[in-house]
Amino acid sequence: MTKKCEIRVKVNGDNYKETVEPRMLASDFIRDQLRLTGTNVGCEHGVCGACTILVNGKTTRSCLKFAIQLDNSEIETIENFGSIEKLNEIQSAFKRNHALQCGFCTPGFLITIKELLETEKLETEEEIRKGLSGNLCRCTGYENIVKAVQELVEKRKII
Amino acid sequence: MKPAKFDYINPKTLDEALQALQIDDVKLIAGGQSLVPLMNYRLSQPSTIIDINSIKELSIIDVINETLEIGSLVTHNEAIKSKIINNYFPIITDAIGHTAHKTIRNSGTIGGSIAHADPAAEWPLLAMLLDCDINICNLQDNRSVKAKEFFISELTTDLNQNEIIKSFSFPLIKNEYGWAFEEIVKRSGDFAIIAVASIIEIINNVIVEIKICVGGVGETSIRLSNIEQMLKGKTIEDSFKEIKNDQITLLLKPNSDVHASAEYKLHIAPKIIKNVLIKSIQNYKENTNDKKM
Repeated sequence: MTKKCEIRVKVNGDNYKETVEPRMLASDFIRDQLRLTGTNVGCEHGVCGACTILVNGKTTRSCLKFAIQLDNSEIETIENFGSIEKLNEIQSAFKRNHALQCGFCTPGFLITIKELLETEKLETEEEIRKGLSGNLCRCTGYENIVKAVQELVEKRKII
Repeated sequence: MKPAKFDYINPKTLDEALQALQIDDVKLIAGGQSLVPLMNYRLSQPSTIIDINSIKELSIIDVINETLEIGSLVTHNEAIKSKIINNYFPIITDAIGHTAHKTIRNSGTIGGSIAHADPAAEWPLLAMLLDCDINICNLQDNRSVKAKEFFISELTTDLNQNEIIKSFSFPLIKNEYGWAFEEIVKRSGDFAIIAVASIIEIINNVIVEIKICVGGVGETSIRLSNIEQMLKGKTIEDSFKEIKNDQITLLLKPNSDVHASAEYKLHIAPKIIKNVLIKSIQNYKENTNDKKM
């Protein structure tokens, strides 16, 4: 029998003290234990990007981390973005550009785009597409997602 | 798609980690970007995981005694951002920019990539190209192995069960040189169908040292030692076109896979390899022109 461990995490500003089994994936911890179900689980082997979260400000595939490894870290999930009444800037750009259809991949894209806007120049369409290439979308054909990012890049203060 | 049960150890020092390695059926985890998918599929079911992420001494980047030292826990993105690495080996900055996606690069490490030894991955290719020494320790001893001896076959290395890779030593290049890196992928971030890198050292227009390495076309990355021999001592005006395609592909042993057939890889190899050689010379000329100006 494997030993359960206690972890402390800050998720979207709230502190949690939780007990986890070592094999629990971070994605399952966030969804099933913290009941933050905005983070979606697609492939569970690091290919689709749907489960992307921010750990200490950096994007991470939550299906490729164990919950136990999140001990003492700060997590941001899609729940920390805007609400239905008040979408945040990235979500609004997605809505305006019709950059989602079924919405399953969207949380992963939004989190990824937040990091891209903060860290990458994204001067060309090619750079934007390269930045998005780790996230799969089976509905949109990506065109409108690229458009949404282009709009966000134009509005952004120069990095 | 859930990992089997395991115990988890999170050592704070290298010594603690080496002690923990004495347990049977353990696996080290660094970035986990190759290991966790294997565990999710239950292709790997270690009884204990040793998480080495808290061992600070494994994260160094420094130049010591004419070598660039990179700690095994340095992530791909830390390597890309490192001014020291970019200053001495811009080829590393460029090539690692092709490794997977930004999110994977936030976690994935040089040590993990080289210990995993995927023959199409960028770090193993760079280690072979740059004659890197791999610095390994166990509870009693330290040892260094040349990349050439470290990579045995696909996903198989010289690393023993009781050992940890501490760091990598890349000998600095003594002369003025040019470099180039190119790879063919189906999608940005995929493993390369074929990846090629070269470093050409030049004095008075003569090639005094040349390294060419190809990934994705054999069980490990392959140094084209026959072509290196042919070109050493030649002037840079000597055309690479003199090299015949069958000489270029002589040492390559590609397998067919879902992405490309072996024939296709052998067909495109000469083209991309020549291209990289030409680009390396161009890069040398640009570098030396910049200095004159």
